[in-house]
Amino acid sequence: MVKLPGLKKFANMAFSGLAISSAPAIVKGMLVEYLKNVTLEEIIYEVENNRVLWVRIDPEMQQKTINMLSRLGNLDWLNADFVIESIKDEHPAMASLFLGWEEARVWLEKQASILKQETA
Amino acid sequence: MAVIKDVNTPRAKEVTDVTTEAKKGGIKKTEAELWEEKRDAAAAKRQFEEEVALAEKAKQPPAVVEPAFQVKGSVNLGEFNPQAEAERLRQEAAQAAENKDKKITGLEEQRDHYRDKAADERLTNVEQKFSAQIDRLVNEIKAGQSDTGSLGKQIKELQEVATGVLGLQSPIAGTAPVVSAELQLQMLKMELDDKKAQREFERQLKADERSWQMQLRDMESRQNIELAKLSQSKERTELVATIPQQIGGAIAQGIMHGGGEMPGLGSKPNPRHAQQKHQYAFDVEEGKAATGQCPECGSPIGVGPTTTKAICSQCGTEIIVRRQKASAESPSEEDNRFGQHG
Repeated sequence: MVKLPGLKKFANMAFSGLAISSAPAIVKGMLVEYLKNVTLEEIIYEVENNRVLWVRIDPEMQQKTINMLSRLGNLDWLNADFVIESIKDEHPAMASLFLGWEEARVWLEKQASILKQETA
Repeated sequence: MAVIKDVNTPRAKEVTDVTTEAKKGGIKKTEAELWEEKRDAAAAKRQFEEEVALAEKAKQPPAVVEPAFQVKGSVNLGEFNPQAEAERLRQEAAQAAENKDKKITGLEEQRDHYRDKAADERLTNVEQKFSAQIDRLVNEIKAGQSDTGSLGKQIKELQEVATGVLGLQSPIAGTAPVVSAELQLQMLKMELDDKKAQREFERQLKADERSWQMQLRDMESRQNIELAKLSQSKERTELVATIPQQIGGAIAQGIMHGGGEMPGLGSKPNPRHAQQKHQYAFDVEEGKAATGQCPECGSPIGVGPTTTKAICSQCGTEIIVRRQKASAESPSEEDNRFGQHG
């Protein structure tokens, strides 16, 4: 039997890579769908009042999101830049708002951190 | 003579004895009638005696029948097998027939031998006669003693010998050779066989052509199938060949993931931003948010309450946001439009 040293390591890396490569697409889809019910004024209001978006989500949806994100492993890629990049095609005005408004960008980064904390 | 009769007595009272009357000579019997009476009497007597004998026999007890005198023993007269005898007779008949055939064959050979010998002798005789006549004719011609009659006679004799004895046809006659009916029949038969063989050959040729066409079609069909299989195999091979590439890409992403950075997520600079030709400005009331369209690509742009520079998410165009103090008349939504600055 031929032994390939490090084959298991490469296989794990491959599976990990496949999961990670598909994870952003999944999260992107979730963000786009969620923001379809949110207006620009509501986002501005949330930013100005520094409100946490996570607690306003339905608990069932929260649990599903946590279950899904916990399977994706490392979520370091989930940050404000990722969210802006994900929503810029379907919600260009909102992406533009986050790009040009520093407070909104900070708020978005904070929301991503809260989400990662909840998942961890 | 007068007969006195008692008239008071009826006539029926008179008894008449026929025998007596016959003996008296009143009635005379014939000889046949006499013998007939005797025959009847004899028959009646014999019948009476038989009946008496039967009656006596019935009275006596049945007699014990003793077995007849027998002589036992056997005499072997030999075995007689009719089938073997018939077989032997048949073999003898076959042997006799064979002997007869052999004898006939030998006689026929002798006959043929003598016939050939006779034919040879006759041919030799004819040749000798023919050569003698030719020699004589030559001598006569040389001697000039021949006349037309003698020469014609000699020629006629030669012709007779040639046609009659040797069976040759005269070339002078100029007539078509006589073909016998049997020969004509044989020729027709040969011609018929030739046509039949020709037809058979043509039929075989057509059958071969048809078979060849079918084989050709079969080969084409097999070729198509093989080509289809080859195409499928090629597609499968290409698909399999791309799997390592995909795995390699996944491994690369995994390795990069280990480094802690995701590629292409907002970290690279927007090329449009570097080569922007014009500067755009947007007048917005201080502390107010606004929306508008990108002057370059027309995409929606959102401006926050404290935003100083709006950025288009599609093309990366930067628009300066100029804050204006709130006037007495609040600007409408249509007034919040981007404008080009110098």
